Amino acid sequence: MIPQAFGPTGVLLTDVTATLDEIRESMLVTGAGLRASEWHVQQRLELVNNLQIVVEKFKQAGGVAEIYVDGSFVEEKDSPSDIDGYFILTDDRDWISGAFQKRIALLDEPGVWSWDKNDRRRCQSFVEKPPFWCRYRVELYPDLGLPSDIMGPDGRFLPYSEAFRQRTDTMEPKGIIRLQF
Amino acid sequence: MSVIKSEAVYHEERARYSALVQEIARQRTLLEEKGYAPDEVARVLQPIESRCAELLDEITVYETIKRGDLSVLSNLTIGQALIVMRIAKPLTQIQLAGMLGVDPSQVSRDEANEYRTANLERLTKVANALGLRMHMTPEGATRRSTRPTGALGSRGGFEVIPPAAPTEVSVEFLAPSEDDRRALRQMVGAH
Repeated sequence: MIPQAFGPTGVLLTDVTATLDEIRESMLVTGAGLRASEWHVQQRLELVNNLQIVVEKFKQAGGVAEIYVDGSFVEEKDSPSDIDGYFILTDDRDWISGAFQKRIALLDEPGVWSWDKNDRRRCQSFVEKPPFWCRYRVELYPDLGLPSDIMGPDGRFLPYSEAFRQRTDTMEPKGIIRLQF
Repeated sequence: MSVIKSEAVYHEERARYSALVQEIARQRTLLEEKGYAPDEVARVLQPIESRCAELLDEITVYETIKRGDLSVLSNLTIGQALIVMRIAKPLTQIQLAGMLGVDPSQVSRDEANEYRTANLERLTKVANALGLRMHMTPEGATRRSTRPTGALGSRGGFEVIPPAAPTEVSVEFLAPSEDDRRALRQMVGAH
């Protein structure tokens, strides 16, 4: 269950499990009870609605065991620009073979679902972003148990499961949301 | 990370990029030693390589902005443009806060939100502090030509003329040189 307030430094203190409806009704969207005076409810609601579209496609593609939502959306930030997250497949070979990517690509407009760096593009962003970010402002990466691009306090590159459980700026531990879908 | 906003972060990200390139090479070697086929290695590394490419872009964009070259940036929102202008001046967030008479945390928060939650009054104050002029002119009124204040090395001004529908706003840029006008228009696009 999503708590009614963030911790003292504006992050979740522990992981929580929630449905998308629960997220919509929680302080993450409504801002109810929070210190922030400019909580952008509409922006956060639109992001959650887009996340729902993405999650439906992931469900339809099949083979997805877990989806986690993290980043500034689950922090006390007035207006996050996107939703970050990672997912775990039932079988990593589904990714390694390319089978999962093919299935999800068929569920959307051509070119949306690509994690290839050469398919990134500018879309009201400072830098080129993945096409699914451009379309949904949602960015999900597969956690294959390998190090990601994010460093921990000891300078080691962390797998997503660890990397997204720390704040980007301070590396302070934080909780994230496990989606119930 | 959307755009690098300070020199300190720039140096950190450059160091991270260098380490990340080595990490990707290490992972590639490990995967190959484990017998993965080239296309399988490529798929496994796609996510981290995409994020590595994005990090390199962020570094390059910062370097470009610091040189005062705004022509490489286009299709930004007004808020994003204000962030770019601050970096290009160059001003730190603390310096801008001092000019605005606000706590530095306000500037930090506004930039983190890309000014999405800032009202027109705040946007105008920030624009003015950055040497840009931004004001509203009722539709049908004669458009005043403003005395150029320069843009970026010079500074530019822009005039906002609201159309009949009160929810829409059009923006016109006034800057002393055609190069400055072109750079500002290209940077902000239709916003």
